[in-house]
Amino acid sequence: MAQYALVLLVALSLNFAIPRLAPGTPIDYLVPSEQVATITPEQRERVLAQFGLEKPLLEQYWLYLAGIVQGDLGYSTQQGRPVVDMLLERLPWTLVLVGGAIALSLVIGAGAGFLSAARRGGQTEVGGLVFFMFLDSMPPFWIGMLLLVLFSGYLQILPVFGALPLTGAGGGFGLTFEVAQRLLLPLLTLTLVRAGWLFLVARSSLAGELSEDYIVMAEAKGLSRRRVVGHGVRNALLPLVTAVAVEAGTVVGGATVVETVFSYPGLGRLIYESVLSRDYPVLQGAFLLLAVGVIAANLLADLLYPVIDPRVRAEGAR
Amino acid sequence: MRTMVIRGALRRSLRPALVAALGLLIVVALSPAAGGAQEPQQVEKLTIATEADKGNLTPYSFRPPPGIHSELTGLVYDTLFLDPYTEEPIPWLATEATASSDATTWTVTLRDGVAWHDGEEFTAEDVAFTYDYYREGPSNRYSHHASEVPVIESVEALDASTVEFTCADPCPTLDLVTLADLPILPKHIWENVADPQTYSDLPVGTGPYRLVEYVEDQSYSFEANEDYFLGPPAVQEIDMPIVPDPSSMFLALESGQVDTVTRNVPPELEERLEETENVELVEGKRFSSVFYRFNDERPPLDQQELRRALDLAIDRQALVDTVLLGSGRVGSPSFMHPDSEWYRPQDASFDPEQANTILEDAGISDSDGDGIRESDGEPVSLSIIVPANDPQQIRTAELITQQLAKIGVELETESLDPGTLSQRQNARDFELSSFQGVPHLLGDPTQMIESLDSLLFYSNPEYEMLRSEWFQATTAEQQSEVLSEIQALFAEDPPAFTLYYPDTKYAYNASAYEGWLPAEGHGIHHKWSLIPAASELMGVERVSQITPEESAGGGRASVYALVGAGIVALLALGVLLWRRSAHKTDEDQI
Repeated sequence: MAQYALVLLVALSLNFAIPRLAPGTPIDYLVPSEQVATITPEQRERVLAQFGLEKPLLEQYWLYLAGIVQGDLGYSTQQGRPVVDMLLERLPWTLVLVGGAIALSLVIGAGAGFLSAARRGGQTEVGGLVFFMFLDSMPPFWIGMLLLVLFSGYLQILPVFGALPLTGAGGGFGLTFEVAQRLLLPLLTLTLVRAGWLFLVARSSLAGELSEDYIVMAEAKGLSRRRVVGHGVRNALLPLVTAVAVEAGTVVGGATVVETVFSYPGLGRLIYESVLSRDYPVLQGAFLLLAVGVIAANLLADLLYPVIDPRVRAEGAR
Repeated sequence: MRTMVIRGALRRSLRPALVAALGLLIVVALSPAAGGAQEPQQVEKLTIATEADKGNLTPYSFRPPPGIHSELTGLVYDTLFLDPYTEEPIPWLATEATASSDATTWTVTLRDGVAWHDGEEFTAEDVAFTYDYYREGPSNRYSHHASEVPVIESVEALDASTVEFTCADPCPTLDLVTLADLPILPKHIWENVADPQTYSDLPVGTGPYRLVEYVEDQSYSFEANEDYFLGPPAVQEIDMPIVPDPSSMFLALESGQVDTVTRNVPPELEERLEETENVELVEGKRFSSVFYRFNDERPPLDQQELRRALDLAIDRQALVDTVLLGSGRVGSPSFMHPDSEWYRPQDASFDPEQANTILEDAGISDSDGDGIRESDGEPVSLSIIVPANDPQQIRTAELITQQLAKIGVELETESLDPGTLSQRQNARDFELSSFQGVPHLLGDPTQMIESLDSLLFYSNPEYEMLRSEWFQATTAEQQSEVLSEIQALFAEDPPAFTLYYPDTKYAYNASAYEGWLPAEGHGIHHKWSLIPAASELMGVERVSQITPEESAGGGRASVYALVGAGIVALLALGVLLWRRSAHKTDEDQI
């Protein structure tokens, strides 16, 4: 646990430092470029002071840490709104989109990967491998664009943009339907993008397990093929859990492109826009959320390990 | 190409195509020639996709392009005169403005009976407050037009509907430009705003629309202001989703999910959109350009001969043909936009021969035979910074690199993210820098004078003289004359290399609304497109009045005829196939 706390502190500090190391300041974005040169130093100070950016770095750092403890992440330099509010608005959409995509891609990718490893060498298996490798190598925006062209342009059955209908959806079932309709394509895109990679992990992991001695043993005992593979699958789950936990943060960042194509209000887009405008407070807040998310995912993976693998449990008991 | 249209249509799907074609034929048969509409139609609701979030649409929520800002704030706020890019001042919130003989003092009479969205009365106090706020408060996109060019010394409300402006120097274009540019804020709200930069309430203005909902990075919703002083707007409600991805945006238009998009149609999409049912294209006359700033403090660019040679070596027509696919005009040394009232034509010459001669004469020659000239022993190797998110500007820089290689000058492109780019531009940390010209910069003479100092760092003795003449001019005509002399200076010694003025075509769904009004400088997405009285006031025609002439109706009719012929051929084919298969079954039975 102490380890996790230390990791968190390091993450928080990097989080503070990195946006400030990048060239450019919020002021370059707040003032129209044809006019920046006419700003007096006093005006510049005044703009910076509004966001506490004129203070010495150490003081800013201290205020930042103190703010986190109090749940105050400051104000966006771009929107002028509390960062916490902005993050909370985006978070549900990201959780639904990214969480859904992780779960779905795990089911589809890992399922197909295990199936493929179990039937290694067969014709369908080669077809599956080619298909998922193809998926894995396709850029997300392209998959998204293809789906959009197909479902929104050609068939015209799904909306092109947004997460919520603009007006007049009412509530209850109608709203749920509208939201689901708008979630479908981005979710599918992100799932497809992720599934290829998880397929490869699952496949190679199970293939490795299936060549182990205990499998030979199980086969020698005359167990059914199904049960033999079942033995292997349990062990093959471990690398998958690690992979998902480690990648949890990347998926949020990776969703940026998908969110842009579908105009989806997730965290990825917020981060992207904030990078462009050097909106330090929002960047800090968003990365804080990501860091906590990734650390939590890893913690969860650590806790899951003993459940999946009795050997880890035994080691822990010793 | 026509046959491709037909084949494409057929490929899409046969049955719907048949139905659609029948419907089309009926529509074509029944509809009279479009046009001749005097009043814009009344429409319940329009959905307009815009490309970028522009905050809560106050004058302080400005963000750099992409996206339109002043046109959106203009839905909510009004100015005293209609617009800074008109030929003559057109009264708007003001009814009249008269200058003293030396053009330093202006008396402006305001319209009676105008109310803010919250019901409060609009008075001279609001006007005086606004100008003071811009002058003394935090800087925004408008503030320097109250404090720098021109310098407004005082603004005084003489009575409820009269305001007196006093400028430090003569300000003969106050009514034409300045008062037409700066949006008026309600005093009763803004006097309590301590910090406009973090002000996030929905704006209250006098404008034709109320912003009723703003979901950050997602959408705007506007409602018509039925009590607008020029009468109720033509469109009741406007939904404005924010769609950042260009492909998604145009797909939304093609599939009928939005009625128009605020992004210019990229040249490569023109043909496809023109073939889309109901979608029409119109030239919006927005002022836009791409120009290169240069840093004349850094050797070797401090040599005027080198700058002149670079200018001569750029083949602008090739840029227009290749990068813009012909949809644009070549850049002019005049810097301002050719459609602006203040533009004085100057032709950029393309003459690499002469460029070579100038360089040789200046002693910038290739002494070591590596194909690159040297200046003071150093190879003339320049770098240009361009925005990484604008493929057009990157392509342009690549082409120019090839063009300059022909006169022995090396150019390296550095593409940077917008944050880094603007920081380096603002710190003047560059040799050449690619820049997108915005309407304000290309059509507003006061901005031009200011930009020559603050953005382009233009300075030479003749210019300094003309500049002070400009400030002493007491009539708009005199100012215009001085400005044309200034532009004449640019032919030999330009403040920047203007490369091209792209066409600014916009696409809209003609079955949804045809009241769009291409206003010089702005495109079609602005309040005047939605205000019935605006067309006459501005003397500009709406698209419903101009389309019949521009897109030859005959052409469209022949497309319909071709589609019809295609359908007939298809039917014949179908019958043929059906008969053949029927035949087959007969044979099988035998």
